[in-house]
Amino acid sequence: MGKTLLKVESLKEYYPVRKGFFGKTGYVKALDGVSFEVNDGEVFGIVGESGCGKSTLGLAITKLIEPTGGQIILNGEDITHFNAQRMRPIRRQMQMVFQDPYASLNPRMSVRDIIKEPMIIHHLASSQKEMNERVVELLRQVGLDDYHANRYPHQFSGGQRQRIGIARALAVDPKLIIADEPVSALDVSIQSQVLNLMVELKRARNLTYIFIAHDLSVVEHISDRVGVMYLGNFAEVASKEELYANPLHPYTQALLSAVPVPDPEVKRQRIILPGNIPSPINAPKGCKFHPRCFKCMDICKEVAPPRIQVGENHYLYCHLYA
Amino acid sequence: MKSNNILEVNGLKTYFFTDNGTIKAVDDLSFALKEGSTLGIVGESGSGKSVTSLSIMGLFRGTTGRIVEGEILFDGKDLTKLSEEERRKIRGKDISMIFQEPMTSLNPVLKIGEQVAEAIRLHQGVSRAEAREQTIRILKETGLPRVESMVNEYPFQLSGGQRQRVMIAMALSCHPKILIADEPTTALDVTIQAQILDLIMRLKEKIGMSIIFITHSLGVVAEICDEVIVMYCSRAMETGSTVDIFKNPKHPYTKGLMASIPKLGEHLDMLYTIPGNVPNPRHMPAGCKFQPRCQEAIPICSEQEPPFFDYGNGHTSRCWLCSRKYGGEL
Repeated sequence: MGKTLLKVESLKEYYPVRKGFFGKTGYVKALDGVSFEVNDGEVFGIVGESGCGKSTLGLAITKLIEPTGGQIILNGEDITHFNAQRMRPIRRQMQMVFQDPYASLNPRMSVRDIIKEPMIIHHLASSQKEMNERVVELLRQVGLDDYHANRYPHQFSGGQRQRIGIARALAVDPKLIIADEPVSALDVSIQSQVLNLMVELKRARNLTYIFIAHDLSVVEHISDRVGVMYLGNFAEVASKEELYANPLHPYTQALLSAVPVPDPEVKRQRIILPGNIPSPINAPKGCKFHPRCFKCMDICKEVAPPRIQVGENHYLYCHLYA
Repeated sequence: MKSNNILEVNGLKTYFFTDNGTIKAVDDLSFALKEGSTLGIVGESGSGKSVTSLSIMGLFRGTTGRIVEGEILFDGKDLTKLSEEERRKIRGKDISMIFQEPMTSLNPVLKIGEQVAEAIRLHQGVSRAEAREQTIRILKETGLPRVESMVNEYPFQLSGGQRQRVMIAMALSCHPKILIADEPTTALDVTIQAQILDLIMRLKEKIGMSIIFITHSLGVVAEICDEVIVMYCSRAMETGSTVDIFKNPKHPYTKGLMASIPKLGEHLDMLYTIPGNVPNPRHMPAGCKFQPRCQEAIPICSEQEPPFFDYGNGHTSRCWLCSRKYGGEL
């Protein structure tokens, strides 16, 4: 594994919400001081349930939304306060693949134009001919055919559209790809095709992935390291082997025990968490997980847990291990 | 009808007659639901699993779909032969259904309490006050908090998991004999899914009903079902007890599905994949419908659709490779 490619330091993303017309402004703390690093050539998986902030994190890193606070350092360069113009060359280094292959492709553009667009923006080809050749090359790399270039998104199935989205992301030859739920809209048999494609491309092009998903089995399969998010911050971050074999945070334990196992002879003891994820507008005091935690102590209700390092590649936010 | 089968579906064909031709959404499907058991129907999008449930419920008004052949036997009656009036008496009372989208299947402009009370008043003919009491009781049973105030709230004020609990309360308010659950946990987070599955199975024991559970998640099937039907392209490909299907699958499609899902704790370099895509329902392949994607296909597969081969104990597989003639055991 290589050097640090991306470093995120106490990243915050607050959305103001006004309570009533004259009411005072509150904040939805979608990201509340998130810190992590991604090394060159690794796959960093981010799991969590809806509303935990995992998609916001993807958008904030690529600065598709402006972070409220904190730092984003890509390749040693602090890009947190870059404006749109200065971000442009940075976007050549990191690209996104989105969840919904139906909504993320422009229905009025042919596949050729969709894949060409980033090359035009970044002046990556000297002639139309060269550009068209690259489109064909990219289509083949993602498992599509030359003649698909003239078609429009509606003529493709969900899995094929996701391949087009991947080809578009690869068009600028990025280092880092942030994939936000890239396979969750796909059927089981198509999901494995796209996952395998992503693994192949990563090897062939030496890519780094941030893979955001809610499916713990998918994240385990593809990732080297995994971070579990809850209500705007990580609960636990560890290498995949550590996290899945030895989960320490009560939330990680509950999450893993809730995954249905496709084996009828395995009967596991499930930890069923009470209640729902609280609204991020009125996030609980102290540890944000404490109202649902089955190991809650008095201190958890008052004090937010610090980051605790429990192994070389394993840290978590929980008073139990302080 | 065997005494311990509460529902029997024989040779069901449900077609949709569109301007662009006929779509055979369910084609010659047969199965039986044993009393008190949970039957899982798994398949990918477009395999016909939801249309199967709509056929049992008789919910085709406003669509071009209808049952063209086959029978659905419940309680000695063939549901396909009943009038709309007679079906309505069964729907929601003896057989009820919960849907995937708790957001869209509740009426947004009706209070929670009124929606749940509707079925109770319709089928039990009780007074408003009595219906309200029953509503509060059943909502409490589903583990919802602060029920007394929630009955006066609207669906948008509840979370996804809470809405699904309301749906379950509605479906179970008349203590049905059969519950059809169509992807009830697909839109929910894993921890909420675990809560809802737990609730459904607890209420099943209490009411003593049978369940048809439609899902694309093999994990959910393995956890809660007694028997399984694997559907592909409008038909059953393999049926059997959950243990037989998971431990000893016979059909290449079933085997492929099992192999292509990542499993916790299993560190594979690459996943197994089924090549290609589900065929367009307007251009179904000849012979076995899975044959163009099947890596074990032999010449006969593209010529003739295989029959079911019976391994006993309800385990059947629609694949020529099961035949002794082509190297199988039967």
